[in-house]
Amino acid sequence: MKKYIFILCASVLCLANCSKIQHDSISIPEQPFELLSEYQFFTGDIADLSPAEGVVPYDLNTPLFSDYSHKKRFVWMPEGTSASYDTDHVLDFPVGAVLIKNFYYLQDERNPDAGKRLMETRLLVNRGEEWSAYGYTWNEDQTDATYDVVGDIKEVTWTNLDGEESTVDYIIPNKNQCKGCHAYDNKLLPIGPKARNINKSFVYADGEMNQLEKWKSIGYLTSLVEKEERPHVANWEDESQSLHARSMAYLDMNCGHCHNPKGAGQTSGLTLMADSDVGLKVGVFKPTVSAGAGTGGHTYSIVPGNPDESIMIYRMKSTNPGAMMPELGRRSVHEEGVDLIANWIKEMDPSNFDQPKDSSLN
Amino acid sequence: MKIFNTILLFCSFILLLVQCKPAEVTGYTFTKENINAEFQKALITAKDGDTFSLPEGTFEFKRSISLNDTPNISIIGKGKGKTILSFKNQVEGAEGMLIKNVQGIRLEGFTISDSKGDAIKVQDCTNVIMRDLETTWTTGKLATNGAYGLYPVSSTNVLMEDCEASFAMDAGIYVGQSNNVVVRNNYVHNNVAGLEIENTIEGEVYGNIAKNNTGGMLIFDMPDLPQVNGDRIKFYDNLMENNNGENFAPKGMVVSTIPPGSGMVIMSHSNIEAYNNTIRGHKTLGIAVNSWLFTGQPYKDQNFDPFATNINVHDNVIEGTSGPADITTDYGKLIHATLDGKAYDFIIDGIFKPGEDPSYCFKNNGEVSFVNLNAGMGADPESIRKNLNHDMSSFDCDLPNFDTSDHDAWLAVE
Repeated sequence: MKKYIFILCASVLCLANCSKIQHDSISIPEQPFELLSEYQFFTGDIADLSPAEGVVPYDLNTPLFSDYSHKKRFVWMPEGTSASYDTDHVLDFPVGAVLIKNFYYLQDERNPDAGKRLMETRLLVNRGEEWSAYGYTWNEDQTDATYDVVGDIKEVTWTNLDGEESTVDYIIPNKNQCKGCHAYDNKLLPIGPKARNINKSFVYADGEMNQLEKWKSIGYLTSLVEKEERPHVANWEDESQSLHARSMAYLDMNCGHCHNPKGAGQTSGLTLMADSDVGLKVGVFKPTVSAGAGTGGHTYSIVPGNPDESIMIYRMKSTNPGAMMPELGRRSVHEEGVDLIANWIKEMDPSNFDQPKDSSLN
Repeated sequence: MKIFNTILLFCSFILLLVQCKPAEVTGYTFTKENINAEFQKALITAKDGDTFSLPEGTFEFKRSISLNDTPNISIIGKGKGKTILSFKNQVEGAEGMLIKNVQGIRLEGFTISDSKGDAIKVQDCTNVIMRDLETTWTTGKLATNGAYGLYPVSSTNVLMEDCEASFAMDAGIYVGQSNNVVVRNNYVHNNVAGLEIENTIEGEVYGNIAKNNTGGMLIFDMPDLPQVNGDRIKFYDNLMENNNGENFAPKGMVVSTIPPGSGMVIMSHSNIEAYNNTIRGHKTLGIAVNSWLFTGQPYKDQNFDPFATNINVHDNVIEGTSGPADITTDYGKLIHATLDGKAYDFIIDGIFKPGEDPSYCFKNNGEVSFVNLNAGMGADPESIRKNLNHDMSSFDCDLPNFDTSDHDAWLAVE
């Protein structure tokens, strides 16, 4: 009798405390595992990031710049669940879905096979009401990564495409800082997997396919609209695309997570999203409110035709924590990104915009 | 059946044991040895109602300290100047301390020095107490200092008292886009703006001292922000003295236009009552009232009211506005071009809401000098020289009182 009571109680307790999301060998606990390996997202040598069944790699048209690190992204959903398509926002993921983002540096950018150094793996788990973020820091031996709420600063050195040695103090954010970028209406949400940003082709183990269609084919996506109705942002590096499209894609991914009407950067009144009209809201002749050291002595976020007088460029070029933008996750200047946005501003014709009136104060 | 009931009872008991642990000691007292390693971690894992006590001493931090979401948190030091969190070697984070989306936050008894950006930013919070805090930059007046010292923004129910803020290259105390604020008995000095209230609705600012800033106290309303049309602020029993400091704000910031030697500047905000203040020893102006239009800056926001309306300035002492007026800023240069460099107790731009009578009342402020630039008829120096006047008679009036008592209820609880 005692034994039955024990089992009954254990199952009652389990109902209260131990509800788990199961999918074959993968299960997501209520509290994060201590080690990344415990989730069993990867098979074989964990540092190879070979996905287990149901763990699907994906990529973005334009990523967030993170100090020249590379990222490998995966999505996993509980058995029998799927995300629902959304035109404008992040896809509507099912409860229990996990986004897995691995940050690493190649030893030598010219030779991807020469080896890599994994820095951190970030998990975003959809808990229903909001998402939870868990950061795992990789060990020096690259045999596993450990759950870490406070983050770290680690120096990384690699050889860049020009064969030169590059170094950066790579910052692994703390748990609070996740929300610095991932807050929407003060709720934690993913940034990357919006339809417009994953609407691209990807080379899977079994061949190349559009990511949205792949997700649909494996049961990870429902309500997908017809091909021609799906939005798409440019790949910022794709020079066959217009300068404007590439720039808006870059701003959308690098700034829009804060600079949207419900983001942390909304107090500034600046809105930097893919579909923002080019005008005051993206900063054209917009005086600053609280840019602080971020003005660099300039008056407007964007002065059409004049990137050197534009606060936006100044802040992208700065590495002073009190002046730089984005505020987090960047210790070095993204030279190629600066060039893109500077060219975009340079091409703007000032006569297309409301210009400040002559004033006694100017 | 009976046995099943027994089981159920037993299980319930176990569940209770598991789920209803006795109330834990909430919070943590840090030591000199562990504060660096443990402070941030503790804030990340904080629980509702926790109090964190900081030891006396100077502690260096390389990264911002932040708290998100967990309600009813207190962070208490041994007193400003005694518990010092230094960010001299900060490598990351746009502020020293960031408190975001917290319902119920009490910050008390510590100093934040040399943060790379703002010193203490409190965003999207309610029931905020900032008491006995200090923010400063120890390297003097540099354009590379952080912009704001104490910086509550987009918050509701804010009490700031007994704080000291210095050497900010924008405002020592800055309250932005907030509602229901009380700012009292603070000391702000050697900032560009001593104390600034911006786009804020309902509040009282009293018993504060502003000395040696570029401008003592500013009340601004700015366009194209989530909360516009600042309203209903009372300023009383404040001292603004010798705010003649150089303007070390980088060009491009709105405060970089403030001329050294400004006591109080009101721009675009509505329903301001300023009384029983002492405004003494300013070389350029005692009180200025401007419309946003005077800045010549464009704005898109259809809801924004660019005019200052219902500005009631009475029973203040304004003295020693002695000149020669500043010549380092554009505003100062304009004064030289139009007023021959003479300082005035009152300067108004004279840009009023079209079709309405000016709603400024200036009464019982003693013998004061006054100039109306009448810039509504042209803001260039030549027009101003031609159109300005010194006629204060139309401003000898009273305005109805307005209510700022919404803070009483929550202050009584705190």
